[in-house]
Amino acid sequence: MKEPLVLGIETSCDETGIGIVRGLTLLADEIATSVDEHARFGGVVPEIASRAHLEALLPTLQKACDVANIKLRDLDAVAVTAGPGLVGALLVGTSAASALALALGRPLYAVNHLAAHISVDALESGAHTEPMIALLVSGGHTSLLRVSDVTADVQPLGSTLDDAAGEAFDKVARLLGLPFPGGPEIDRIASTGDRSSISFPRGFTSAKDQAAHSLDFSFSGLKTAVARYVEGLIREKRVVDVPAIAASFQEAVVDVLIEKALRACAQEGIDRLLIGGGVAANSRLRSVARERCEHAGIQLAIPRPGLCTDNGAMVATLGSLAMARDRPATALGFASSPGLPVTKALI
Amino acid sequence: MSRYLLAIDTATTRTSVALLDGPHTMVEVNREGATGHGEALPSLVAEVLQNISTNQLEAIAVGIGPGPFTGLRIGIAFARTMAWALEIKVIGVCTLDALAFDYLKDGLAPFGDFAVATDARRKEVYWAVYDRHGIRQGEPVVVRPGNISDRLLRLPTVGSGALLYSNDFSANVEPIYPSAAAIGRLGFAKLDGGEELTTEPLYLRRPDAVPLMSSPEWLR
Repeated sequence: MKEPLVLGIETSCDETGIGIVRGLTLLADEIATSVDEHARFGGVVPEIASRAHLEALLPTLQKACDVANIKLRDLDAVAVTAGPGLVGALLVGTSAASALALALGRPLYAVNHLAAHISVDALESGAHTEPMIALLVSGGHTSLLRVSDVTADVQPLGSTLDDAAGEAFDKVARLLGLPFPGGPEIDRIASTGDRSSISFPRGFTSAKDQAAHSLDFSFSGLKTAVARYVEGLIREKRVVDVPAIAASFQEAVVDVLIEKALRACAQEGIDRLLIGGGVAANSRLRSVARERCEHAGIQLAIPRPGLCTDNGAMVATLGSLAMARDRPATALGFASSPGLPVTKALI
Repeated sequence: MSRYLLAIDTATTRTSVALLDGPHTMVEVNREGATGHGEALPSLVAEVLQNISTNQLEAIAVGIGPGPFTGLRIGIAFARTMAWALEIKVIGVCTLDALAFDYLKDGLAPFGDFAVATDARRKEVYWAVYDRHGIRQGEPVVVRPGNISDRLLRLPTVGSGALLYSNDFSANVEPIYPSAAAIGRLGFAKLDGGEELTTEPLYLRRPDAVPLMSSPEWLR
Protein backbone atom coordinates (compact mmCIF):
# COMPACT_ATOMS: atom_id res chain seq x y z
CA MET A 1 0.00 0.00 0.00
CA LYS A 2 1.12 3.51 -0.79
CA GLU A 3 2.13 5.46 2.30
CA PRO A 4 -0.56 7.83 3.61
CA LEU A 5 -0.63 11.49 2.54
CA VAL A 6 -1.37 13.62 5.61
CA LEU A 7 -1.86 17.37 5.99
CA GLY A 8 -1.20 18.90 9.43
CA ILE A 9 -2.44 22.22 10.81
CA GLU A 10 -0.76 23.99 13.74
CA THR A 11 -2.21 27.21 15.26
CA SER A 12 -1.59 26.85 19.00
CA CYS A 13 0.41 30.07 19.46
CA ASP A 14 1.64 32.71 17.01
CA GLU A 15 2.67 30.47 14.10
CA THR A 16 0.22 29.34 11.42
CA GLY A 17 1.88 26.13 10.24
CA ILE A 18 0.75 23.80 7.47
CA GLY A 19 2.76 20.65 6.84
CA ILE A 20 2.26 17.83 4.38
CA VAL A 21 3.92 14.42 4.68
CA ARG A 22 3.72 11.19 2.75
CA GLY A 23 4.49 8.51 5.31
CA LEU A 24 7.54 10.03 6.97
CA THR A 25 8.69 12.02 3.94
CA LEU A 26 8.24 15.77 4.32
CA LEU A 27 6.65 17.34 1.23
CA ALA A 28 5.85 20.83 2.51
CA ASP A 29 6.25 22.85 5.68
CA GLU A 30 4.82 26.35 5.29
CA ILE A 31 4.69 28.85 8.13
CA ALA A 32 3.18 32.31 8.53
CA THR A 33 4.05 34.05 11.77
CA SER A 34 2.55 37.01 13.59
CA VAL A 35 5.65 37.41 15.80
CA ASP A 36 6.39 40.94 14.56
CA GLU A 37 2.91 42.10 15.57
CA HIS A 38 3.55 40.96 19.16
CA ALA A 39 7.00 42.54 19.54
CA ARG A 40 5.82 45.90 20.85
CA PHE A 41 3.76 44.14 23.53
CA GLY A 42 6.75 42.09 24.75
CA GLY A 43 4.89 38.79 24.40
CA VAL A 44 2.27 36.99 22.35
CA VAL A 45 -1.13 38.74 22.54
CA PRO A 46 -3.75 35.98 22.12
CA GLU A 47 -6.32 38.09 20.24
CA ILE A 48 -3.72 39.41 17.80
CA ALA A 49 -2.43 35.87 17.21
CA SER A 50 -5.95 34.55 16.62
CA ARG A 51 -6.78 37.28 14.09
CA ALA A 52 -3.53 36.61 12.27
CA HIS A 53 -4.27 32.87 12.10
CA LEU A 54 -7.59 33.52 10.37
CA GLU A 55 -5.91 35.78 7.79
CA ALA A 56 -2.97 33.46 7.16
CA LEU A 57 -4.92 30.22 7.06
CA LEU A 58 -5.95 29.88 3.41
CA PRO A 59 -2.84 31.45 1.85
CA THR A 60 -0.66 29.08 3.91
CA LEU A 61 -2.81 26.06 3.06
CA GLN A 62 -2.63 26.93 -0.64
CA LYS A 63 1.11 27.47 -0.52
CA ALA A 64 1.71 24.13 1.21
CA CYS A 65 -0.36 22.30 -1.42
CA ASP A 66 1.52 24.08 -4.21
CA VAL A 67 4.93 23.30 -2.71
CA ALA A 68 4.01 19.65 -2.09
CA ASN A 69 2.45 19.55 -5.56
CA ILE A 70 -0.52 17.53 -4.38
CA LYS A 71 -4.25 17.52 -5.10
CA LEU A 72 -6.41 17.88 -2.00
CA ARG A 73 -8.49 14.87 -3.02
CA ASP A 74 -5.36 12.71 -2.75
CA LEU A 75 -5.07 13.42 0.99
CA ASP A 76 -5.64 10.39 3.20
CA ALA A 77 -6.09 12.26 6.47
CA VAL A 78 -6.04 15.65 8.16
CA ALA A 79 -4.25 16.25 11.48
CA VAL A 80 -4.55 19.28 13.74
CA THR A 81 -3.21 20.54 17.05
CA ALA A 82 -6.02 20.34 19.63
CA GLY A 83 -3.91 21.62 22.57
CA PRO A 84 -2.19 22.69 24.67
CA GLY A 85 -2.13 26.31 23.53
CA LEU A 86 -4.11 29.55 23.33
CA VAL A 87 -7.76 28.60 23.06
CA GLY A 88 -8.77 31.24 20.50
CA ALA A 89 -5.77 30.38 18.35
CA LEU A 90 -6.35 26.62 18.58
CA LEU A 91 -9.98 27.02 17.53
CA VAL A 92 -9.07 28.59 14.17
CA GLY A 93 -7.02 25.50 13.33
CA THR A 94 -9.44 22.90 14.66
CA SER A 95 -12.36 24.55 12.89
CA ALA A 96 -10.47 24.65 9.58
CA ALA A 97 -9.30 21.05 9.99
CA SER A 98 -12.83 19.86 10.73
CA ALA A 99 -14.08 21.66 7.61
CA LEU A 100 -11.35 20.13 5.48
CA ALA A 101 -11.98 16.61 6.78
CA LEU A 102 -15.74 17.00 6.24
CA ALA A 103 -15.35 18.48 2.75
CA LEU A 104 -13.05 15.67 1.64
CA GLY A 105 -14.66 12.86 3.64
CA ARG A 106 -11.35 11.94 5.26
CA PRO A 107 -10.43 10.97 8.85
CA LEU A 108 -9.30 13.67 11.25
CA TYR A 109 -6.61 13.24 13.90
CA ALA A 110 -6.69 15.83 16.69
CA VAL A 111 -3.25 15.66 18.26
CA ASN A 112 -1.25 16.97 21.21
CA HIS A 113 1.14 19.83 20.43
CA LEU A 114 3.84 18.45 22.73
CA ALA A 115 3.61 14.92 21.33
CA ALA A 116 3.85 16.48 17.85
CA HIS A 117 7.11 18.22 18.86
CA ILE A 118 8.45 14.78 19.80
CA SER A 119 7.12 12.97 16.75
CA VAL A 120 8.78 15.34 14.26
CA ASP A 121 12.05 13.52 15.01
CA ALA A 122 10.66 10.60 12.98
CA LEU A 123 11.17 12.68 9.81
CA GLU A 124 14.91 12.60 10.46
CA SER A 125 15.38 9.43 12.54
CA GLY A 126 12.74 7.03 11.19
CA ALA A 127 9.56 5.51 12.54
CA HIS A 128 10.68 3.52 15.56
CA THR A 129 12.88 5.54 17.89
CA GLU A 130 11.03 4.83 21.13
CA PRO A 131 11.67 4.38 23.98
CA MET A 132 13.29 7.75 24.49
CA ILE A 133 13.52 10.60 26.94
CA ALA A 134 12.23 13.86 25.51
CA LEU A 135 13.20 17.30 26.74
CA LEU A 136 10.67 19.82 25.43
CA VAL A 137 11.69 23.43 25.86
CA SER A 138 9.76 26.39 24.47
CA GLY A 139 8.18 29.69 25.44
CA GLY A 140 5.25 27.86 26.98
CA HIS A 141 6.67 24.53 28.13
CA THR A 142 9.65 22.94 29.84
CA SER A 143 9.12 19.22 30.35
CA LEU A 144 11.01 15.97 30.69
CA LEU A 145 9.05 13.03 29.32
CA ARG A 146 9.42 9.31 29.02
CA VAL A 147 8.19 8.36 25.55
CA SER A 148 7.31 4.69 25.07
CA ASP A 149 4.99 5.34 22.12
CA VAL A 150 4.53 8.91 20.91
CA THR A 151 0.97 8.15 19.77
CA ALA A 152 -0.15 6.46 22.97
CA ASP A 153 2.26 6.44 25.90
CA VAL A 154 4.03 9.63 26.97
CA GLN A 155 4.68 9.98 30.72
CA PRO A 156 5.78 13.21 32.43
CA LEU A 157 8.92 12.90 34.58
CA GLY A 158 9.34 16.56 35.47
CA SER A 159 8.50 20.08 34.37
CA THR A 160 8.99 23.70 35.29
CA LEU A 161 7.25 24.86 38.43
CA ASP A 162 7.27 28.51 37.37
CA ASP A 163 8.55 30.10 34.13
CA ALA A 164 9.14 28.09 30.96
CA ALA A 165 12.74 28.23 29.71
CA GLY A 166 11.76 30.30 26.67
CA GLU A 167 9.81 32.68 28.88
CA ALA A 168 12.97 33.25 30.94
CA PHE A 169 14.83 34.09 27.72
CA ASP A 170 12.11 36.62 26.80
CA LYS A 171 12.09 38.25 30.23
CA VAL A 172 15.88 38.50 30.50
CA ALA A 173 16.07 39.87 26.95
CA ARG A 174 13.62 42.60 27.91
CA LEU A 175 15.73 43.40 30.96
CA LEU A 176 18.78 43.76 28.74
CA GLY A 177 16.98 45.95 26.21
CA LEU A 178 16.85 43.23 23.55
CA PRO A 179 13.74 42.83 21.38
CA PHE A 180 11.04 40.11 21.56
CA PRO A 181 11.32 37.16 21.06
CA GLY A 182 14.33 36.98 23.34
CA GLY A 183 15.65 33.52 22.47
CA PRO A 184 17.34 34.24 19.15
CA GLU A 185 18.55 37.66 20.41
CA ILE A 186 20.25 36.23 23.49
CA ASP A 187 21.71 33.37 21.45
CA ARG A 188 23.21 35.89 19.01
CA ILE A 189 24.63 38.38 21.51
CA ALA A 190 25.82 35.66 23.93
CA SER A 191 28.20 34.35 21.27
CA THR A 192 30.36 37.45 21.84
CA GLY A 193 30.27 37.29 25.66
CA ASP A 194 32.19 35.37 28.32
CA ARG A 195 29.78 32.72 29.58
CA SER A 196 31.80 32.02 32.72
CA SER A 197 32.04 35.65 33.82
CA ILE A 198 28.98 35.64 36.10
CA SER A 199 27.81 32.70 38.18
CA PHE A 200 24.01 32.75 38.06
CA PRO A 201 21.98 30.26 40.14
CA ARG A 202 20.96 26.85 38.78
CA GLY A 203 17.37 26.16 39.90
CA PHE A 204 16.58 22.92 41.76
CA THR A 205 20.14 21.61 41.66
CA SER A 206 20.98 21.94 45.37
CA ALA A 207 21.18 18.77 47.45
CA LYS A 208 18.06 19.86 49.34
CA ASP A 209 15.98 20.19 46.14
CA GLN A 210 17.23 16.97 44.61
CA ALA A 211 14.93 14.79 46.67
CA ALA A 212 11.66 16.54 45.85
CA HIS A 213 12.45 18.10 42.46
CA SER A 214 15.08 15.90 40.90
CA LEU A 215 13.65 16.32 37.38
CA ASP A 216 11.73 19.59 37.82
CA PHE A 217 12.86 23.03 36.73
CA SER A 218 12.62 26.56 38.09
CA PHE A 219 13.71 29.62 36.13
CA SER A 220 12.07 32.50 37.95
CA GLY A 221 14.88 32.68 40.52
CA LEU A 222 17.41 32.88 37.72
CA LYS A 223 15.47 35.69 36.04
CA THR A 224 15.35 37.59 39.36
CA ALA A 225 19.08 37.03 39.90
CA VAL A 226 19.82 38.60 36.51
CA ALA A 227 17.54 41.55 37.36
CA ARG A 228 19.28 42.08 40.75
CA TYR A 229 22.67 41.85 39.07
CA VAL A 230 21.76 44.51 36.48
CA GLU A 231 20.26 46.75 39.18
CA GLY A 232 23.49 46.42 41.19
CA LEU A 233 25.57 47.53 38.22
CA ILE A 234 23.34 50.54 37.63
CA ARG A 235 23.45 51.51 41.31
CA GLU A 236 27.22 51.38 41.27
CA LYS A 237 27.23 53.22 37.94
CA ARG A 238 29.14 50.41 36.25
CA VAL A 239 28.87 49.31 32.64
CA VAL A 240 26.13 46.76 31.83
CA ASP A 241 28.05 44.17 29.82
CA VAL A 242 25.11 42.77 27.86
CA PRO A 243 27.02 40.00 26.00
CA ALA A 244 28.56 38.67 29.24
CA ILE A 245 25.25 38.73 31.11
CA ALA A 246 23.40 37.08 28.20
CA ALA A 247 26.08 34.39 27.84
CA SER A 248 26.19 33.65 31.58
CA PHE A 249 22.39 33.53 31.83
CA GLN A 250 22.17 31.24 28.79
CA GLU A 251 24.85 28.99 30.27
CA ALA A 252 22.87 28.61 33.50
CA VAL A 253 19.71 27.63 31.59
CA VAL A 254 21.51 25.20 29.27
CA ASP A 255 23.48 23.65 32.12
CA VAL A 256 20.35 22.79 34.12
CA LEU A 257 18.39 21.57 31.10
CA ILE A 258 21.07 19.14 29.94
CA GLU A 259 22.04 17.98 33.41
CA LYS A 260 18.45 17.05 34.23
CA ALA A 261 17.84 15.46 30.82
CA LEU A 262 20.84 13.18 31.32
CA ARG A 263 19.71 12.39 34.84
CA ALA A 264 16.32 11.34 33.42
CA CYS A 265 18.05 9.03 30.93
CA ALA A 266 20.07 7.43 33.71
CA GLN A 267 17.09 7.12 36.05
CA GLU A 268 14.87 5.50 33.39
CA GLY A 269 17.64 3.38 31.88
CA ILE A 270 17.02 4.87 28.42
CA ASP A 271 19.95 5.77 26.18
CA ARG A 272 18.17 7.97 23.65
CA LEU A 273 17.45 11.67 24.24
CA LEU A 274 15.34 13.90 22.03
CA ILE A 275 15.34 17.67 22.49
CA GLY A 276 12.52 19.62 20.87
CA GLY A 277 10.58 22.89 21.11
CA GLY A 278 11.62 26.42 20.16
CA VAL A 279 14.47 26.69 22.68
CA ALA A 280 16.05 23.58 21.08
CA ALA A 281 16.97 25.92 18.23
CA ASN A 282 19.43 27.64 20.64
CA SER A 283 22.97 27.08 19.36
CA ARG A 284 24.60 26.78 22.79
CA LEU A 285 21.99 24.25 23.95
CA ARG A 286 22.66 22.18 20.83
CA SER A 287 26.42 22.15 21.26
CA VAL A 288 26.40 21.44 25.01
CA ALA A 289 23.86 18.65 24.45
CA ARG A 290 26.09 17.08 21.80
CA GLU A 291 29.19 17.25 24.01
CA ARG A 292 27.62 15.87 27.16
CA CYS A 293 25.54 13.18 25.44
CA GLU A 294 28.61 11.89 23.69
CA HIS A 295 30.43 11.84 26.99
CA ALA A 296 27.54 10.01 28.69
CA GLY A 297 27.07 7.53 25.85
CA ILE A 298 23.56 8.83 25.11
CA GLN A 299 22.26 8.88 21.54
CA LEU A 300 21.06 12.45 20.89
CA ALA A 301 18.39 13.62 18.48
CA ILE A 302 17.72 17.32 17.92
CA PRO A 303 15.62 18.13 14.85
CA ARG A 304 16.96 20.86 12.61
CA PRO A 305 16.06 24.31 14.03
CA GLY A 306 13.15 24.84 11.60
CA LEU A 307 11.47 21.70 12.90
CA CYS A 308 12.08 22.60 16.58
CA THR A 309 10.00 25.78 16.52
CA ASP A 310 6.24 25.42 16.02
CA ASN A 311 5.32 24.05 12.58
CA GLY A 312 2.71 22.06 10.70
CA ALA A 313 5.08 19.27 9.66
CA MET A 314 5.21 17.92 13.19
CA VAL A 315 1.42 17.74 13.33
CA ALA A 316 1.25 15.94 9.99
CA THR A 317 3.96 13.55 11.19
CA LEU A 318 2.08 12.61 14.35
CA GLY A 319 -1.03 12.08 12.22
CA SER A 320 0.95 9.85 9.90
CA LEU A 321 2.34 7.82 12.81
CA ALA A 322 -1.17 7.52 14.28
CA MET A 323 -2.38 6.04 10.99
CA ALA A 324 0.61 3.72 10.68
CA ARG A 325 -0.03 2.46 14.21
CA ASP A 326 -3.77 1.99 13.61
CA ARG A 327 -4.90 4.55 16.17
CA PRO A 328 -8.58 5.50 15.97
CA ALA A 329 -9.39 8.80 14.24
CA THR A 330 -10.98 11.64 16.22
CA ALA A 331 -14.76 12.03 16.17
CA LEU A 332 -16.04 15.32 14.70
CA GLY A 333 -17.09 17.79 17.36
CA PHE A 334 -14.11 17.18 19.65
CA ALA A 335 -13.16 19.97 22.04
CA SER A 336 -10.03 22.06 21.61
CA SER A 337 -8.18 21.84 24.89
CA PRO A 338 -5.88 24.70 26.00
CA GLY A 339 -4.63 22.61 28.94
CA LEU A 340 -4.43 19.25 27.17
CA PRO A 341 -2.14 17.03 29.30
CA VAL A 342 0.91 15.55 27.60
CA THR A 343 -0.30 12.06 28.50
CA LYS A 344 -3.07 12.46 25.93
CA ALA A 345 -1.18 12.23 22.63
CA LEU A 346 -4.31 11.90 20.50
CA ILE A 347 -7.91 12.92 21.15
CA MET B 1 -31.89 21.61 -10.90
CA SER B 2 -30.92 21.80 -7.26
CA ARG B 3 -28.99 24.75 -5.88
CA TYR B 4 -27.58 23.59 -2.55
CA LEU B 5 -26.13 26.18 -0.22
CA LEU B 6 -24.72 25.53 3.26
CA ALA B 7 -25.33 28.40 5.69
CA ILE B 8 -23.79 28.88 9.13
CA ASP B 9 -23.74 31.48 11.87
CA THR B 10 -21.61 31.49 15.04
CA ALA B 11 -21.82 35.19 15.92
CA THR B 12 -24.15 34.82 18.92
CA THR B 13 -24.60 32.27 21.70
CA ARG B 14 -26.49 30.13 19.18
CA THR B 15 -24.66 28.00 16.62
CA SER B 16 -26.99 27.80 13.62
CA VAL B 17 -26.54 25.66 10.50
CA ALA B 18 -28.87 25.22 7.54
CA LEU B 19 -28.98 23.58 4.14
CA LEU B 20 -30.92 25.48 1.51
CA ASP B 21 -32.01 24.44 -1.96
CA GLY B 22 -32.49 27.82 -3.60
CA PRO B 23 -34.86 29.84 -1.40
CA HIS B 24 -36.20 26.67 0.22
CA THR B 25 -34.75 25.71 3.61
CA MET B 26 -34.32 21.93 3.61
CA VAL B 27 -33.13 21.69 7.19
CA GLU B 28 -31.94 24.01 9.95
CA VAL B 29 -30.36 22.87 13.21
CA ASN B 30 -29.34 24.99 16.19
CA ARG B 31 -27.37 24.50 19.36
CA GLU B 32 -27.26 26.94 22.29
CA GLY B 33 -24.18 27.86 24.29
CA ALA B 34 -21.95 30.90 24.73
CA THR B 35 -18.91 28.67 24.31
CA GLY B 36 -18.77 25.40 22.43
CA HIS B 37 -19.26 26.73 18.88
CA GLY B 38 -16.13 24.80 17.96
CA GLU B 39 -17.61 21.50 19.10
CA ALA B 40 -21.13 22.23 17.82
CA LEU B 41 -20.39 23.47 14.30
CA PRO B 42 -18.76 20.39 12.67
CA SER B 43 -21.40 18.07 14.14
CA LEU B 44 -24.28 20.27 12.99
CA VAL B 45 -22.80 20.62 9.49
CA ALA B 46 -22.36 16.84 9.25
CA GLU B 47 -25.99 16.50 10.32
CA VAL B 48 -27.45 18.80 7.64
CA LEU B 49 -25.22 17.31 4.93
CA GLN B 50 -26.05 13.68 5.70
CA ASN B 51 -28.25 13.21 2.63
CA ILE B 52 -26.11 15.02 0.05
CA SER B 53 -22.49 14.89 -1.00
CA THR B 54 -20.34 17.93 -0.24
CA ASN B 55 -19.53 18.01 -3.97
CA GLN B 56 -23.15 19.00 -4.65
CA LEU B 57 -22.81 22.28 -2.73
CA GLU B 58 -22.91 25.41 -4.89
CA ALA B 59 -21.77 27.84 -2.20
CA ILE B 60 -21.39 28.46 1.52
CA ALA B 61 -22.77 31.51 3.35
CA VAL B 62 -21.44 32.53 6.74
CA GLY B 63 -22.40 35.14 9.31
CA ILE B 64 -19.51 37.60 9.64
CA GLY B 65 -20.87 39.27 12.77
CA PRO B 66 -20.51 41.58 14.42
CA GLY B 67 -20.15 39.19 17.33
CA PRO B 68 -17.76 37.83 19.96
CA PHE B 69 -14.37 37.27 18.29
CA THR B 70 -13.73 33.60 18.96
CA GLY B 71 -17.16 32.47 17.81
CA LEU B 72 -16.89 34.57 14.65
CA ARG B 73 -13.56 33.05 13.72
CA ILE B 74 -14.82 29.50 14.23
CA GLY B 75 -17.57 30.04 11.66
CA ILE B 76 -15.47 31.99 9.19
CA ALA B 77 -12.45 29.64 9.37
CA PHE B 78 -14.79 26.72 8.81
CA ALA B 79 -16.67 28.29 5.89
CA ARG B 80 -13.56 29.59 4.14
CA THR B 81 -11.71 26.28 4.43
CA MET B 82 -14.60 24.13 3.31
CA ALA B 83 -15.28 26.41 0.32
CA TRP B 84 -11.58 26.42 -0.56
CA ALA B 85 -11.43 22.62 -0.42
CA LEU B 86 -14.54 22.26 -2.58
CA GLU B 87 -13.54 25.12 -4.91
CA ILE B 88 -16.86 26.90 -4.44
CA LYS B 89 -17.82 30.46 -3.46
CA VAL B 90 -18.04 31.60 0.15
CA ILE B 91 -20.32 34.54 0.96
CA GLY B 92 -20.13 36.69 4.08
CA VAL B 93 -23.42 38.00 5.47
CA CYS B 94 -23.83 40.55 8.26
CA THR B 95 -25.37 38.67 11.18
CA LEU B 96 -27.58 41.62 12.13
CA ASP B 97 -29.01 41.63 8.58
CA ALA B 98 -30.11 38.02 9.13
CA LEU B 99 -32.06 39.04 12.24
CA ALA B 100 -33.63 41.90 10.27
CA PHE B 101 -34.54 39.50 7.46
CA ASP B 102 -36.36 37.17 9.85
CA TYR B 103 -38.22 40.09 11.44
CA LEU B 104 -39.54 41.17 8.02
CA LYS B 105 -40.54 37.65 6.96
CA ASP B 106 -40.46 38.67 3.30
CA GLY B 107 -42.83 41.56 4.01
CA LEU B 108 -42.53 45.12 5.22
CA ALA B 109 -41.71 46.12 8.78
CA PRO B 110 -45.12 46.67 10.40
CA PHE B 111 -44.14 49.83 12.28
CA GLY B 112 -41.63 51.42 9.90
CA ASP B 113 -37.99 51.75 10.96
CA PHE B 114 -36.64 49.17 13.38
CA ALA B 115 -33.32 48.14 14.94
CA VAL B 116 -31.29 45.03 15.68
CA ALA B 117 -29.21 44.62 18.86
CA THR B 118 -27.19 41.55 19.83
CA ASP B 119 -25.17 41.02 23.01
CA ALA B 120 -21.63 42.38 22.74
CA ARG B 121 -20.81 41.70 26.44
CA ARG B 122 -19.10 44.40 28.56
CA LYS B 123 -22.51 46.13 28.86
CA GLU B 124 -22.54 46.91 25.13
CA VAL B 125 -24.58 45.76 22.13
CA TYR B 126 -23.84 45.30 18.43
CA TRP B 127 -26.48 47.54 16.91
CA ALA B 128 -27.83 48.76 13.57
CA VAL B 129 -30.97 50.57 12.36
CA TYR B 130 -33.05 49.42 9.34
CA ASP B 131 -35.78 51.04 7.28
CA ARG B 132 -39.16 49.37 6.73
CA HIS B 133 -37.79 47.52 3.68
CA GLY B 134 -35.01 46.00 5.75
CA ILE B 135 -32.28 48.21 4.28
CA ARG B 136 -29.59 48.84 6.87
CA GLN B 137 -28.92 52.52 7.61
CA GLY B 138 -25.13 52.63 7.81
CA GLU B 139 -22.58 50.26 9.29
CA PRO B 140 -23.25 48.30 12.51
CA VAL B 141 -21.67 49.72 15.66
CA VAL B 142 -20.81 48.49 19.14
CA VAL B 143 -22.40 50.79 21.70
CA ARG B 144 -23.75 51.06 25.25
CA PRO B 145 -27.55 51.09 25.16
CA GLY B 146 -27.44 54.21 27.37
CA ASN B 147 -25.56 56.08 24.64
CA ILE B 148 -28.30 55.51 22.03
CA SER B 149 -30.78 58.38 21.64
CA ASP B 150 -34.22 57.91 23.22
CA ARG B 151 -35.88 58.14 19.82
CA LEU B 152 -33.86 55.21 18.43
CA LEU B 153 -34.19 53.20 21.65
CA ARG B 154 -37.95 53.33 21.22
CA LEU B 155 -37.80 51.64 17.79
CA PRO B 156 -38.95 48.03 17.69
CA THR B 157 -35.67 46.19 18.31
CA VAL B 158 -34.94 42.52 17.67
CA GLY B 159 -32.08 40.37 18.97
CA SER B 160 -30.69 39.12 22.25
CA GLY B 161 -29.23 42.53 23.12
CA ALA B 162 -32.69 44.11 23.08
CA LEU B 163 -33.99 41.42 25.41
CA LEU B 164 -30.97 41.62 27.71
CA TYR B 165 -31.30 45.40 28.07
CA SER B 166 -35.09 45.53 28.00
CA ASN B 167 -35.07 48.56 30.32
CA ASP B 168 -33.37 50.51 27.54
CA PHE B 169 -35.00 48.81 24.54
CA SER B 170 -38.63 49.19 25.61
CA ALA B 171 -39.97 47.74 22.35
CA ASN B 172 -37.92 44.52 22.17
CA VAL B 173 -39.46 42.01 19.80
CA GLU B 174 -38.64 38.60 18.30
CA PRO B 175 -36.60 37.00 16.83
CA ILE B 176 -33.91 36.80 19.51
CA TYR B 177 -31.30 34.82 17.57
CA PRO B 178 -30.20 34.88 13.91
CA SER B 179 -31.11 31.86 11.81
CA ALA B 180 -28.74 30.19 9.38
CA ALA B 181 -31.70 29.96 7.01
CA ALA B 182 -31.77 33.78 6.80
CA ILE B 183 -27.98 33.86 6.34
CA GLY B 184 -28.52 31.47 3.43
CA ARG B 185 -31.30 33.53 1.82
CA LEU B 186 -29.20 36.70 2.04
CA GLY B 187 -26.20 34.76 0.77
CA PHE B 188 -28.08 33.72 -2.34
CA ALA B 189 -29.19 37.33 -2.89
CA LYS B 190 -25.57 38.50 -2.78
CA LEU B 191 -24.37 35.66 -4.98
CA ASP B 192 -27.04 36.22 -7.64
CA GLY B 193 -26.79 40.00 -7.36
CA GLY B 194 -23.14 39.81 -8.34
CA GLU B 195 -22.10 41.62 -5.16
CA GLU B 196 -18.54 41.53 -3.94
CA LEU B 197 -18.21 38.55 -1.63
CA THR B 198 -16.11 39.22 1.42
CA THR B 199 -15.85 37.18 4.59
CA GLU B 200 -13.81 39.69 6.61
CA PRO B 201 -15.04 39.44 10.19
CA LEU B 202 -16.83 42.49 11.63
CA TYR B 203 -14.89 42.66 14.89
CA LEU B 204 -15.72 46.36 15.56
CA ARG B 205 -13.29 46.29 18.49
CA ARG B 206 -9.52 46.28 18.57
CA PRO B 207 -7.61 43.63 20.54
CA ASP B 208 -7.08 44.52 24.21
CA ALA B 209 -3.34 44.92 24.57
CA VAL B 210 -1.06 47.55 26.00
CA PRO B 211 2.32 48.19 24.36
CA LEU B 212 5.37 47.92 26.58
CA MET B 213 7.72 50.72 27.46
CA SER B 214 10.16 50.72 24.59
CA SER B 215 13.24 49.91 26.66
CA PRO B 216 14.28 49.20 30.27
CA GLU B 217 14.88 52.15 32.57
CA TRP B 218 18.66 51.90 32.59
CA LEU B 219 18.78 52.32 28.80
CA ARG B 220 16.60 55.42 28.68
